[in-house]
Amino acid sequence: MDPVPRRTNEKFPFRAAAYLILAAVLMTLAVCALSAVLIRSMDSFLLYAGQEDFAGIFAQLEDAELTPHGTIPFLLALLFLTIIGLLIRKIGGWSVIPAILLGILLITASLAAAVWFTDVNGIRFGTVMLSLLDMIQAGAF
Amino acid sequence: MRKFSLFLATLTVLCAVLTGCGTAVPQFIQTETDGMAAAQWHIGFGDAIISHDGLEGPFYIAGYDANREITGVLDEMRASAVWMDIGGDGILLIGVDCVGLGRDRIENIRTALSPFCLETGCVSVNVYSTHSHAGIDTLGLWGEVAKDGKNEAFMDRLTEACVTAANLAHADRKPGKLTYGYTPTDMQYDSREPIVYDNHIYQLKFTPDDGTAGIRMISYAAHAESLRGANTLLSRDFPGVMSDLLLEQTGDRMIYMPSAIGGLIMTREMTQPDGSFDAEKAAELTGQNLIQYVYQIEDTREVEPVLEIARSIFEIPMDNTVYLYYRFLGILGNETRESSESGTGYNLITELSLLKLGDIHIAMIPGELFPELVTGEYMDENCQRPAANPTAENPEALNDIAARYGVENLMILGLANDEIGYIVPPGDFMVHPETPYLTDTGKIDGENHYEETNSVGIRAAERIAQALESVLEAMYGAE
Repeated sequence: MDPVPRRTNEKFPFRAAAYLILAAVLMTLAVCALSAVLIRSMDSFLLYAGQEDFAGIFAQLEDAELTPHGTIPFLLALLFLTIIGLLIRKIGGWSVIPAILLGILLITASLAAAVWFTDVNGIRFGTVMLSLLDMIQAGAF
Repeated sequence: MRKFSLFLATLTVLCAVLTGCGTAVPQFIQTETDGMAAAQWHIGFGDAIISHDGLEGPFYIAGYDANREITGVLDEMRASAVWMDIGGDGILLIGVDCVGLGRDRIENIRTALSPFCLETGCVSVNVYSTHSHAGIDTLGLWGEVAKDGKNEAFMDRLTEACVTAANLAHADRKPGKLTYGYTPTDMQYDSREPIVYDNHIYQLKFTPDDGTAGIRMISYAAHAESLRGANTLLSRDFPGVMSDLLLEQTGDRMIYMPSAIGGLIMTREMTQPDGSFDAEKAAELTGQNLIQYVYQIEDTREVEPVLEIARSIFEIPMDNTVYLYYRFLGILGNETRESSESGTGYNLITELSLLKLGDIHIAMIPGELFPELVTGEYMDENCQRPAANPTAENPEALNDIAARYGVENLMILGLANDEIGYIVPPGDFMVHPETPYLTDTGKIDGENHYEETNSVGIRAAERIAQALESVLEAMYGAE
């Protein structure tokens, strides 16, 4: 007789769901913190890319008031972690390469979403980037 | 559990409703006497120099081209305060010799004055700019391109000077009489059609009962830029000359209040007899001539001791993408709110107040208002070019709105409690089709529409008119 009762497929895996949500929350907090670092360091990236003039302008973001919006990064994290979890159950064990690839996708997508939706001095980062793109296409700069 | 959930839900709804109501309803304050005596004017004056001595630069000169530093000092910038009460709570009016102050800086000054207000019973602090184009950059727009040109240490000194001036004004308060008068002048120039401006110079003159020096609040519709664009010396421009002359010749202290100066109203260039232009002499001559007009104000009447103020905080759809970028970079300090009604996705939050002194009403406008928005004299067939946007509806004239509430003497104080830029009539509003707000239109219709590039957007005028109506309604009840 098996001493450990097995979970049947009919019961909802509450414990797994709880771990999933916790992992997604932790991931969201991490990407939001990282997005703040990235935004404040934009001038360094622009300098590295040889754009000194723009680097000087974006250096002003070092003291900016940043308000991250974690909803989209959280949902993305939840989605990707769910996919990874389901893949692991289906394959029946750790499959390294797909897990790593999905993990990279997860982090990249969540980070991009976190940066995009962060309010910088009350204005969404993504809104400004779209507007600048329009202006560049119109030949403004 | 169910009762607790219901309680939480009710509390949430209540908070939402109260929060929503708090930002929509204008605030109206009616000052009274302390009950011991009949109402009488008590007015005091104080001023303080805003010095940049000992501070590390750069100090950019505001008003014309970007990235130009001051090269010397003609006269220092000042904060000049007038305290007013009728025997009880008081109202402060502070004028700063600078190009403009954003609402974030106004709130900073109000916060610094909180202890003063608690102590003195000051119920309203109002800060405006004289719009001097020879002061240190206080908006951040005249440094290197897209970089904040404000010097934060200097801005802190500006706040300190406002606090000092306010304290001195309160300490100086005396009982006396307030009179109102005006006279026409022949000093102005309007650079954009329609050629409309108020050519009168107005004076609210306070004469203390004890015969000591008086206080004059001078209102005039002109940009403070008689020194013109090549000047790089720090100065108050002609308002400073007027103030110094008045003090020297009469002992009276003065504050200069810019009126509706958008579009672009300035004093005519004062050239020398040989046709050359000397900036310093031009400012002196402009100030001297304007003071002579002030002395010509003879037909005055007494202002009854009634002191009230109504304020409305409201939103303007922020279509100007440059404002969006500058807010993003932290150069523009105004609060914004996400909104689908604007081209950028954000509304800008600002305020308008109506100050009542007897039967004189001063509309404190947060920017540079085009005079035709006050009088209703919009572009017509008599102009040399057609209106740029004839299908857009111009708002009801501010004078007409005021008249519906029985207000006949509406004065305008521009650049008050914010500086949102030009407030342009929608009927003549035009931006560049490909790079709106970044560049002007060029003279495609005979006008380069420069003012639009320094405006919040086309709906500013309509929102200003609505805000004025709301404060009039708060003061007098629904029409």
